[in-house]
Amino acid sequence: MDTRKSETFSTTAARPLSPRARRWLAILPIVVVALLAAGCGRNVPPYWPDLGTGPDQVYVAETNGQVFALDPQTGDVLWAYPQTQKSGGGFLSGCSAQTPSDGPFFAAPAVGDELVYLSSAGEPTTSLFRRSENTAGLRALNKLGTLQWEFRGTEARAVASPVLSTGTVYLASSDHSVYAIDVETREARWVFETGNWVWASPVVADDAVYVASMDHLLYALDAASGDEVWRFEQATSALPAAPALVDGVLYLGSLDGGTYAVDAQTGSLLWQRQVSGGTWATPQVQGGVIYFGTLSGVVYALDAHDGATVWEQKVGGEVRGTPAYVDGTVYLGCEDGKLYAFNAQDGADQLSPLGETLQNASIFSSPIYDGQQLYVVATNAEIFALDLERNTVLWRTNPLEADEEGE
Amino acid sequence: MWDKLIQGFVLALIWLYEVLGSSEWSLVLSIAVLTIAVRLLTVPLTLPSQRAMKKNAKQMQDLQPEIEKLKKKYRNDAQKLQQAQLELYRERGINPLSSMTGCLWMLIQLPVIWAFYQSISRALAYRPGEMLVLSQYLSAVPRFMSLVPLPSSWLWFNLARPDAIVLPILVAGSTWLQQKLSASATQPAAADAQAAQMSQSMMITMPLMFGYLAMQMPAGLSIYFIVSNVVGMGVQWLTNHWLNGGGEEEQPARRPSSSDGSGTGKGDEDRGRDSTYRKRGYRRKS
Repeated sequence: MDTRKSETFSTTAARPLSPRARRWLAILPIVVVALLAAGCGRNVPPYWPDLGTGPDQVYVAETNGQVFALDPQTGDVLWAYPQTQKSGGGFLSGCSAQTPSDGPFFAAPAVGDELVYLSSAGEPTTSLFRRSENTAGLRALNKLGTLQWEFRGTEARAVASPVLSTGTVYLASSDHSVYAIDVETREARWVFETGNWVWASPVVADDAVYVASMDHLLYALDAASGDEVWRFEQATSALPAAPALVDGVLYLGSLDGGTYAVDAQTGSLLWQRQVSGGTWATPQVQGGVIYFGTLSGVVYALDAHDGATVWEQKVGGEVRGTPAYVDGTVYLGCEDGKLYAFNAQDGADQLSPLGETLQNASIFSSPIYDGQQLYVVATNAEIFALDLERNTVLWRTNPLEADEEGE
Repeated sequence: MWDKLIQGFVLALIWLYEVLGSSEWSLVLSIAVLTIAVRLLTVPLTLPSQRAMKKNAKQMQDLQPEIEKLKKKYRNDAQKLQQAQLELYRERGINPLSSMTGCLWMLIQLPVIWAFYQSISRALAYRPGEMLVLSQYLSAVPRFMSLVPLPSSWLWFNLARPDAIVLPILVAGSTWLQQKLSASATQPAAADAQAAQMSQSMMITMPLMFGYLAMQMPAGLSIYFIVSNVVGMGVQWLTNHWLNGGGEEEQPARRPSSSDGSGTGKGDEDRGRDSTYRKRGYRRKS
């Protein structure tokens, strides 16, 4: 081949371009397109970390899909599940960093006397050549983080925390169903299918299970049989969060800002009102007032009897988590990286125990109070234990960084 | 700015979904309609590049005999050959970089297409974090919140999840077809052997790569690629028609030996007219 031939076309008046440079120039846009197409340009974190507490341990489901058990006094990592990570993804599969060898787990566990239960957001992926293992479902670990048994009967990821009640674990799944899993037989006693994803943990009370679904409906099921008792159809949008059940009334919000009070016995609407922005959190109900924040950055205190506004406060970003209520103060995390504290009576701003505004991080999960300390986790994986009496940070830790240092 | 563009596309997508009846088919239709709209709106950006590339290719091709002569003349002196070629280009008013300028024009439209591509992924909001971002986008039109989550099942596909076989094959096939049509338009003759070889290998690797990507990406995005390719073919056909059939001086010279002469299906009559225009073109330039 006459290589000079190609040079004739790459010659310019200013500077000749070599054939190699031309080839790279031609290939560069293709590579960029390929990477973007593969998902490198997708910068939306699919999940946020979630917090839970047990008698002696604090649990955090981190954004890498691992669950860590921490010492509530020191913040030291007691164990992690899964213990190890394996490299995630193959060629161009979303430029994902790493995925855990089981799960991933993005929801706080349900804590029993002996076991803790994790819901797995894993999902089978089908390719031309093989169908990967289905890692969705439920894992039961002992308090040392060792796997005891598992349930892999769901067909899609479970993103909400499981709920434990009298020998049964209730698991909500994105395969549209709720599973009642018997902890003795480790099999589903019943499965109830809704019309869309179930992203909210079921609420279990006495002999009923309440399920809020993304199909806009709230279902009441018989806990023993899984049969539908009633359904609430007046919500005008998806219901991503579990209702709060207080004194026989279910309080819930929908993604379009509809706020509803529903009779838990009959499913009839007691009152409804519209708030600014969508609601994606279980309300906190205390002393006849329901507290919640919205995705448009407004915190509401509504009268639980009629939905009338007691007070409202504007904050600096989306509020997703359930507020924590401790001694007359309402604490809630916000997209702007702040932990807000409001006087429950009048909504007056109070000094935040977190003090600082987190940089480049949001607080999307609910602050958790274990009777002594308030725990907060941010999207940068950092966890804070706060002393509310002294309004100080007791300890802060980042299990992902601690994990890397330990390796 | 980038985020606003994506938000605009997301809102347009969901508005169309609502207008088209908020059913499973509505989502696929709205992706298709918006893909067509985006592709057509970016045509003004691609046309100059098409014209530049075509003109460049044709001019280069016409110069081939003279360049061959120069090569023979300066067989042993690459520098002199280069100078002589530059002189020839200058004489004929050819800018060898004009095809690169054409490439730049094509790159300008890429952000728009990427933004749309991302908006499909974000509108499907398959996972909670994505739904949170979608809710931010939809805060501009709160009533759209009642439409999410968009139905992701369509026929036997889950639009939010990758499809293993059918859509990847369609993506690869349509990519190949579009490339074929595009190549026949912009490279009427394989004058540059290396470039021709590269384009040949791209003709195979690109469809395979996009087919593979389709196995990894949500099926909704595969729908975008397929419709986009089909629209691209239509636009290419019209562009070829416009560039070839308008009686303009850019009429490509089809050498009898060219293997890519089937693009417009024109015969001897055209070939005769080509040479007339070519002469006319040269007279005007010289």
